[in-house]
Amino acid sequence: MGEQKTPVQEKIKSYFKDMLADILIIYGEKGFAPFKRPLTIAGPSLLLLYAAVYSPITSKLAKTQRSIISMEAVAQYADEYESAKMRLTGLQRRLPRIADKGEWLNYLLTETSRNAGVSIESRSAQNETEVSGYLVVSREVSTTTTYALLGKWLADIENSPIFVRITDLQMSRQDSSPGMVKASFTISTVFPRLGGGGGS
Amino acid sequence: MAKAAGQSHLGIYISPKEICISQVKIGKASKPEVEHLVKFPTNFPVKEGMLRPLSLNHEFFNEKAPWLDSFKQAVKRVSWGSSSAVVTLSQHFSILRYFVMPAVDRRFWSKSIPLESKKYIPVSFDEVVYDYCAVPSDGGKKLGVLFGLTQRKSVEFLTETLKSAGLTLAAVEATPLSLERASGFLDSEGHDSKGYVHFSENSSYMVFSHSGYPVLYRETETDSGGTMSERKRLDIKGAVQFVDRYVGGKDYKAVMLSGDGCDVWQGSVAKEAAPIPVETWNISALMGLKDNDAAALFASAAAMKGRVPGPSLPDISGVSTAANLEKKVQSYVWNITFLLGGILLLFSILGQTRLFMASSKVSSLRNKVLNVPELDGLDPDTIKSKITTMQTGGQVLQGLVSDVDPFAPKMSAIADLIPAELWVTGFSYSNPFSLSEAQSAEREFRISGETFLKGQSKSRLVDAFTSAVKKSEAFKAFTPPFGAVDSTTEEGGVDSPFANDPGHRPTTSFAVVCRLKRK
Repeated sequence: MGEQKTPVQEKIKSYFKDMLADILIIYGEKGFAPFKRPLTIAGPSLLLLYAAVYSPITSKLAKTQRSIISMEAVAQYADEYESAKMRLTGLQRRLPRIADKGEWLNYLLTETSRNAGVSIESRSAQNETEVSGYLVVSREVSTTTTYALLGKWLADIENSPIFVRITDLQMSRQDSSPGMVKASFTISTVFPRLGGGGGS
Repeated sequence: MAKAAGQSHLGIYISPKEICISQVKIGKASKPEVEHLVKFPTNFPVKEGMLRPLSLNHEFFNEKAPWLDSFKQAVKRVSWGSSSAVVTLSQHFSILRYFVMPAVDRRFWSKSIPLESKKYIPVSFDEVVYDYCAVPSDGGKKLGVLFGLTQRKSVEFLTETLKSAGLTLAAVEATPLSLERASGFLDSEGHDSKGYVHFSENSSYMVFSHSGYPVLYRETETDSGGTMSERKRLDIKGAVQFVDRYVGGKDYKAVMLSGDGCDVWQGSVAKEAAPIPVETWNISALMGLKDNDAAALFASAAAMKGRVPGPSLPDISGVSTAANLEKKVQSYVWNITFLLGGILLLFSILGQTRLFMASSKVSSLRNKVLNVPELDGLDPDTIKSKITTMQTGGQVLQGLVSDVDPFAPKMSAIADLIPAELWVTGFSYSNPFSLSEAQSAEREFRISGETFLKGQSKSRLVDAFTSAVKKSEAFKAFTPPFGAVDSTTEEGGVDSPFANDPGHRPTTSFAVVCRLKRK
């Protein structure tokens, strides 16, 4: 069963039906000529209304809505992102700066060995490996010194506020020089990758 | 009497005998007031006897016609209030027929109605101008058509004549339409169920209409010397039957008589029309006329065209039809334009409202995302992946920097804990980074040492040292469940470069191994 139409709906429907029929009849009998004059005024008026009022508002609205969708997405994750970023930044503060990548380990070894009164017999070239977005940098050094001085030196190195670790160490007693030990060890640190490191 | 707004016209009645020009004002309470009325004879020699329809047109509407000068003088003589004129042609110069035909779609009216009208109008359509109005009847099965026509040349001549007199032809209609307009406007109550007869001098004018369309119109002229018995022959019954044949079921409630001697006529007409009652009324007075002259009545009725309510009636000239058509097209185009414009404006207003609401939302959102400009324009998936990467990176880094297990304190602890009978000969320590799943190498610290002791005493001391190491704070990382500290002892002697020295005491080795498997 069709939906019951109100008299007003019927009137509107019949008005438009008659209008369409009349337009078709007039067009059929007289062609486009009778429509020409009114259309030359009505068409540009509508175009003007569309271009000057409707179009700017709708395009502005569409732009704003796109911006809202984008901002809503960002806002939804903003807290989580900020907290992750803050945590990562805090942790990265404990790493040496990437700008110091070439010199930092060397500087640390030199400074701490001088403080501990240990002379470095040899030091290897810096070894760099990229792992999971981090740059792992290592240097191997060897020295012959007393057990106590070696311990002091290593303690100085490990007390660095910047992250560094003794990743490998071999030490043996020097039978030929009583009281002396020969040690070679590797210290390593991690640099955040260029562009932020870790998370970027 | 309702009033309809419209342009003011002069009404010009043209018959072979006389021409009448009238200017009418619709006054207070919609009462017509005749402002100017000019009537003059045409001096046209009317032939006696039966005439073919439209046969007089050529001769009458001719440049040599005797009425032209009189007409021009009549127009000049009065200061008319309008230059637009509606001409009503007597039945000598025009034909008006009402007929019923099978219903056809409106699209085909322009072709099928003229074709159908040829059955009822016995003239050649080659040189005529016509107009028609049609309404569906009999529940849409039929079409009632009012068809009017005249000679094309007559209309052209009229147009030029009026133009030369300083007037513009607004429409041309047939006299029955004027009479119907006058009676319909002046006696609107129950008008559709009444027939009208107007007497003027020795002529009678009878109109029986349906829905504002004259179905039957009859002009009868009786000789002035005629008797009353001759006059009686109005044939009201025949007229009603004629209408009934075309319209079907038309129930007339009254026959209205007006004009000269209508009281005298009433009795005879009442007998003829019975059982339809017959009444008299004064159409001329209501029209604002001083006498019952039919020419004045028709001219005045023509002057009211477009200013009184009523159905659209045929305009034979096509002038008003063209104007109406233009108006109709304009109205449709403007209606559509207003509709579309209205829709555009409505959507614009809605858009503006939504924009206003959206802008306030943007402001509040902007505050939330102020600290993360680097996320601007990124989609949720990209942001999520960015966060995940950062969190993973953070976890890895956290694991790395929190895994603090310095080596130096272990050296110190060993120095403190090792018994005097044992000594360390070497360390081997490995504590690689674990930045990924692939780098799951374990941490190992091997303490190698020697002693002069052997057997149970060596084992006891090495165990004691191992146990002390386990308990030491510096070796806490190697505690279970992931860590372990074990020791090994060997009974064999250790090769020494001093083995051959006198007083050399052989030693044996031991090792304490600390291991930690990554979590």
